[in-house]
Amino acid sequence: MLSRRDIFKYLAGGGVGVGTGLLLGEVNQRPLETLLSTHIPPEDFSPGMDTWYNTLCRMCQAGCGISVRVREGRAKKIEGNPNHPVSRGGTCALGQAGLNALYNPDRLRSPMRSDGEGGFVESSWDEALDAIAPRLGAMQSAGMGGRTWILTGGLLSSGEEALDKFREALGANVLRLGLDTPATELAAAKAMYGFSGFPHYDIAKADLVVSFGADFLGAWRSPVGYAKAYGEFRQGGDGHRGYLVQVEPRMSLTGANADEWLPARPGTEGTLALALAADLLGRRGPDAAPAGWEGLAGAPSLEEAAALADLPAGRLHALAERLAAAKTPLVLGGGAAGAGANATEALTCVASLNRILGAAGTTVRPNLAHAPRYSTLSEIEEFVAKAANGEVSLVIVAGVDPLHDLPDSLGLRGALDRAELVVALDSFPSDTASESDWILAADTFFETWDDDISLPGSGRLSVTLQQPVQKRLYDTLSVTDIVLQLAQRSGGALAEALPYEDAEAYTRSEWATAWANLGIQDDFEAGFRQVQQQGVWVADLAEGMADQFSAEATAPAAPSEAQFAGDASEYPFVLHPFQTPGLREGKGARLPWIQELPDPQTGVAYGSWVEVNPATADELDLKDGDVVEVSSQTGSVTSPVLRYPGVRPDVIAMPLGQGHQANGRYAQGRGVNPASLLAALSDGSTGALAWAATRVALRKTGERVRLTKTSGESRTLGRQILGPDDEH
Amino acid sequence: MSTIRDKLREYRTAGYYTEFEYHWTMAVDLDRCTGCEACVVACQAENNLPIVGEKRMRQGREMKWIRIERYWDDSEYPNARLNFIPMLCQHCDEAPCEIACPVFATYHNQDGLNAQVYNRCIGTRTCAVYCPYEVRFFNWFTYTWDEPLEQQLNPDVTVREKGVMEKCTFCVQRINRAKDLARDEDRRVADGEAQPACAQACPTDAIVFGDRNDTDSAVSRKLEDPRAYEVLKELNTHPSVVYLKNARAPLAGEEDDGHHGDESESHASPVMWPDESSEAVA
Amino acid sequence: MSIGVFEAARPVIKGLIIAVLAIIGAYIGHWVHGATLNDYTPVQPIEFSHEVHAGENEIPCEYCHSWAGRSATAGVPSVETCVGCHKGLTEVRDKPDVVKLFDYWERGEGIPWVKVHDTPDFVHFRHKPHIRGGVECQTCHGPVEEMARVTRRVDLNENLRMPWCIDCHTEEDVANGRDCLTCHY
Repeated sequence: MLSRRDIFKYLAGGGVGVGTGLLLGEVNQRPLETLLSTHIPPEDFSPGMDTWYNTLCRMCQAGCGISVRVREGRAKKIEGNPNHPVSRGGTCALGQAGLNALYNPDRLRSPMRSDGEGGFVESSWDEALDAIAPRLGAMQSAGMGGRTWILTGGLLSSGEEALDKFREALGANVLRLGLDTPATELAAAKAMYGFSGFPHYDIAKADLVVSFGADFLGAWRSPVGYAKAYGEFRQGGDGHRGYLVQVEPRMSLTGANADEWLPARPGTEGTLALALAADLLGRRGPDAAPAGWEGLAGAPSLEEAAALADLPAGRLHALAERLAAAKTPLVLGGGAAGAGANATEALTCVASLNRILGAAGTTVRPNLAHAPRYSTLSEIEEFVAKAANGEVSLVIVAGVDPLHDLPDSLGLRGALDRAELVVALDSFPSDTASESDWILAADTFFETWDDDISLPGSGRLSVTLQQPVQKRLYDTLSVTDIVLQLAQRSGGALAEALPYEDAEAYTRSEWATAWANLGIQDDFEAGFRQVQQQGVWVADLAEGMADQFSAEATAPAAPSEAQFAGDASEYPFVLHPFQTPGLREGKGARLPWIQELPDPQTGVAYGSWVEVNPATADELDLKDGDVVEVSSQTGSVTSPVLRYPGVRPDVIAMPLGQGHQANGRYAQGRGVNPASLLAALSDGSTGALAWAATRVALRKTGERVRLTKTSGESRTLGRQILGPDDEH
Repeated sequence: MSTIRDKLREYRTAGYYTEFEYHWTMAVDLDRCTGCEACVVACQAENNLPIVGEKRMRQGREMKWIRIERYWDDSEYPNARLNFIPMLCQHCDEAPCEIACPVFATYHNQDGLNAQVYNRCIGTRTCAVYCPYEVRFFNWFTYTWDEPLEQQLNPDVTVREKGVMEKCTFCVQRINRAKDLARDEDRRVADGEAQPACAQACPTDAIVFGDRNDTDSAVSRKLEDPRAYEVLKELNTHPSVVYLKNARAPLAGEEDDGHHGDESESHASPVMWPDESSEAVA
Repeated sequence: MSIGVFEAARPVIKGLIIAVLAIIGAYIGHWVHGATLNDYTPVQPIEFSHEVHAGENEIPCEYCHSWAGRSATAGVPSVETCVGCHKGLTEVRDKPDVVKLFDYWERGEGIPWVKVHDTPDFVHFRHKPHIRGGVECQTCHGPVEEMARVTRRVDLNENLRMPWCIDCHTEEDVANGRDCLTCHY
């Protein structure tokens, strides 16, 4: 009964089906992929297998050793280098995120020239260097090198040395910049121990650590090295468990881990330490005082100190007893305690405790007798004044971001505006680089040669070698390469001072010279190859290189009363800017892994917040997410409130590191920068910026936002998550 | 039909394995842990975890196989105390998630690992509901990497896509590599040879990883510590992650002035699941 | 009455038959595509003959794919490896594909070979344990030494699929050979 028509219909149906099937097969087919062979394979190329390179981490100033896993010519993962005497195989969150800098989509890929209207156009190295070198040459021959200023950080590295040789040959000026520099800490170590470098703190050996403001587990000097030691300090295996007391107005990561957190009033840390010192001397008798001390003039009693610092006197008595009873105590000072107007005096009092307790020589040990000299506020002011007078022709900004990291009140923005030519050497369009005339695209530390002597160190001489772990991704040069090229093209004394082909040749030559000076006669190439494998060169500090405890020390004077910028009646709160372990002063903000990393104590990610004590918040009717205006004498920012039980009621705390005006898609326009609020106030002794001495006012704006915060209950609600039977 | 049903029942019986070839176990010493989060970023780097962005993070969709949980005690300023605890897949030997999955995408293997098989997963998200530790993460989207960030991706780990569940694997790619090397030399994996990214990164050596079957291993020694405990032990999940309790002493009471300790309050919360009741369940 | 219903339903039944035929057709089409019209024998940038190299000249596989025994991936030889031999082989220097090879060499480029075998997503195949276990290259790759242009084995699409892997792992009693995590992670 099938009609012709039906048969055609069925055939057509089947045919359409077959066609569809063929089409589906074609569509579902995996796209062809290619497998590109190498032309001439690099020596270390083995597909599917890992190659590891030991090198240096440059994410912060600590100078840890890292091992980078490389597959098929691409860096894949950072691990700690177990050979390294400072970091001993450990890493931190920021160090782990280093590859985010290497592969960052907003990295500069070639030299950039400002178009004069806020934008940049791509350029070439020849064009860039030819635009700058002739000016240098002219300044050099006219003897006007002093019109050049170099803005840099403070590392003990060959790269920094090259910049310094460059500066010397040109007769230029230098500013070593940073918000939280160890300037006051170095001054205190000089005064109390007679050191020229940074002391080596042996936390592992201590049975009691009392830290005045130093967040050594979070962001202070060498978080990884200190954390390694902290593990030993807590559970070293020999049965003893170290006891940690943290004195600071806002509970830092270290404060959160401390056995006792003492929220002393900002600026009173030195007086507290002095009272403890006097108490200890009283217990031990005058003979216990270090040689040359005539007594502790003007030292308050523990009760007086407790009242001044707004702490329970009982707590201070207990602390004094602990200090007296401890076998290997260690007292640290830094952070905000080292950033007031009386900071050096305060830290000297803190360090005096180590001398009285006999910690000097046991838990405080000599290190390399050398440290960078950081610029004082008055030197910065001199630069700003010269720029205002049109006496600055060239500014070279080498890898620092002062327009973000330092207070607006210093006037650096205006100074850079008035300088004739500003050249930034940076891997990123940082806030400062984006205001420059030229950005010379620099390598990341994965792509070039350098080295570093860790300032916090290990009590031995350890020089970490930085070597390329992979080829350059873009048309970039290292900062050292750029300096060498500029010197060569400028001719004259500059070319003579830096006659090296590239960073590798220069670094090798520096090592060869250093080893020759130390009388190391070994075959250089073999020795250097071994350092390349180990990632670090470790030696005992030779005579004359190590710090020596001075036999005598002057007794610490009573610190002067803390000064703050702003009147207490108008600006009732002290602003406590702090570094988070990821963002630090701002280097972490352009790394997506760091942006998405919740702050350890608060759980907040992607942005800024204002920490207010719950009692204060109740008074001002502030809930989490209420946007407040925080204003100082010199500026104001708005940011949401977070009620934080770990901050004094008269202090508000804000994380540093956000609030970038440029610096790539992850950082730009995110959060606010509390550094911009800070007053241009300095420590009386060193002239270092007192970044924790600004008073602010709070005003509720009425606006409310939701903080980006990891969800979850912040109480255990009896679930015994932290261990059976009690709820600590 | 009945044989399949029997098989399923057998498979889903808690304690399917009576013994493991390797019994991978992690000990986390909370007295060493500082909450620095190096482990969190190390895991992100090793396991190709995506960046979800601010908006999705706000929706609670962040992908972090290991996270630091923070718990304040019940005291107030200035006695408030903060405690950190790293939380990751506990690789329970009697895992609730394994019972739940309708397609066997999650199961227990012979090494005591709680496995997640991406090809099998159909995205019902049941396992995440069953997990009492909240350590399973669902791919609501196919996440992308801003070029050239994708060049960092670990070639030894799959990049997951929309619709599958994922979680901590104890860095099984590293375990497999260690087992492979051991097999080359016809021996067992040595203690410390297989290290997950978090343990390797930890700057305080708070995380120790190894084989519990080896009684000499570092992790076995940690398990003997009197501070060792299991989180939510009362649920009888038999986790492979063991925590060592923080040894901080309670804050001493105050002798004077307005600052008062809140110890009485800290014991006030009712203990919801006392040990006796868990025994009654078993 | 019943005839009436059948008559009324007739167009529906016809439609159903057409649909069923279309589905069967789709299956056939898909199968035919898989068996014939696939890209399992892709054209390579250089017409490199394994028949000549591995077959006639008996060059061992691992001479060029030198990482197979050590690494997860076998790897393709570098241009340098090819040229290393061919520099001395003047008698074939003028063959068009050898000329192409030297063009790559002189331009300093790699050769973009088209992948024949490509493990699917979510699977990690590692060569090393298989070579260590004594598996012949041909077991998975087929008689490459007889292939002028390499083709992927397609015995009704069954080879190089998971059941085939599992069968072998079971037969050979591979340690943890049936554990998902051995390959899927």
